[in-house]
Amino acid sequence: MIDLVFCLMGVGLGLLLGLVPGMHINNFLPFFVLLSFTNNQLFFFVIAASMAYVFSSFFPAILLGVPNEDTALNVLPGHRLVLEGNAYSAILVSLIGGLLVVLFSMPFLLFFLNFLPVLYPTVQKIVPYILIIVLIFMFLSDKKQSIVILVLSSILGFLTFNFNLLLPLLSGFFGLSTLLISFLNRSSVSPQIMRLNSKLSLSNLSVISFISCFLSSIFGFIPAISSSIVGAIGSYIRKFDSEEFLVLLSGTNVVYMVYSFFALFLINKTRSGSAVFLSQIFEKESIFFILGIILLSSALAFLICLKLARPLVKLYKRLNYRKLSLLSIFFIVAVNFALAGPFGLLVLLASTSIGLLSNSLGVKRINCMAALIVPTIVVLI
Amino acid sequence: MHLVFLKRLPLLLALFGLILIYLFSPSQQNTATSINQVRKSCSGPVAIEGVIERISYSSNGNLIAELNQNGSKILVFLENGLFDEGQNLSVFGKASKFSNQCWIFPDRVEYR
Repeated sequence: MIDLVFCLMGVGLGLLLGLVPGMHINNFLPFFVLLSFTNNQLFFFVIAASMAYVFSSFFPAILLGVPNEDTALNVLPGHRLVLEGNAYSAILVSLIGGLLVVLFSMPFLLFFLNFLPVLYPTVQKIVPYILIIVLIFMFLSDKKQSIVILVLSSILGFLTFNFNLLLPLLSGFFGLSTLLISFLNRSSVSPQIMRLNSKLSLSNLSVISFISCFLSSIFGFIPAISSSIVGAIGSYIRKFDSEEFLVLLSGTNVVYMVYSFFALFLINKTRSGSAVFLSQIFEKESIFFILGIILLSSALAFLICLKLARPLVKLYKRLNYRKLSLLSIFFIVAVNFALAGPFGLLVLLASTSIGLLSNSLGVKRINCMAALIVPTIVVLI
Repeated sequence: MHLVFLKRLPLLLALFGLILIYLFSPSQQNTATSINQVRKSCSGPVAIEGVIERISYSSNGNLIAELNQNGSKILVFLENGLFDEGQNLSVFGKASKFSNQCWIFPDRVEYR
């Protein structure tokens, strides 16, 4: 039981990493090898850090518009809610959505235990075709001009596919372009409401979280399909308002991490950096032991994030929005340069241009996800 | 309604998580306690205690301890050289046959 201390340490580290804009837990995993922990302690530490990281990464995505691979789409509805003065609510509903999917992942685990090893090979074969349908649907449900964004994003996706350049790609599409528009339009933040100002009922939240779990149970085990793509697919299944969409995306981010651990134990596939790390020390640990760590660390991360939400939004409120936007813009550029180099900056410039173009054409920014979807289709076919 | 939910659900999840960790923790699964028992099956999780009789290095540089428990002996792979001959060692890990001998590959080692 002394190993529970490692769970707390993991939660602490994960929360810190998530709060730093542009930071991803995958950047830190190589250093975990240097820790002289036992296998058991590493399981506690890595799983707890990964779960806490997902929860706290909602803060920079919503407040600063700095996405990672998974929170790319959170930036848009989050930004809208921040401008309306509902930053606190946006964070709270994201956290609640995240916690609900952890709860719902339990019945799904029972299903996976029985059917995943049998169904997995079949689902894997039809995924490219499902993505083609999604792509066609994306085009048909938007203005005709969306083809420009689909094509440009796909080209950029192909050009960057063999490099680890997701950060500049997604920062430009969803983060930097949004911040530039806000900055140039002189948009100002309404006074922030410091209480839960949500019209979402618990049943609404539960239904959306269940959809997250369900969609992720289909796509979460398939290679190269990120949680953002699942969020994009979800938005075409049902119409969501900003708040609902944020819950869907947050839930998908969290459940993706949960399922990545399930995939390692059930079908021996790695779907996240953390799962890759654990696969090296994985022996025959029980899936229910892993579920226990997930539940405990998610609950702890949720409670700490809940406590952090008010002070962080208050801090945000005190800042001048235009200055903050400018600061965020500089920060995104600096993080991209530091992590992706000069070529990353070039990609950031291209993806920001496409993001701005989609805004001026009046088409949905979600079409930029073609940068991930199209290369994925080509690879899988 | 949300606020009630915010307080209770995480606590319930944490409690359930703790129960699962307690019930399914690998150290709870380490049931075999005597070296004789371990040597018979030489598989699966084990938890044994004994005195380090001899520490040696294998041909490829691995540190190996010979553990003695009331005359019964077994070989344990050690990750570091923090142990001395004559020390009492508690080993939690997996037993496995290798080169016609029964070995213990520890997850956790405690010494006194």
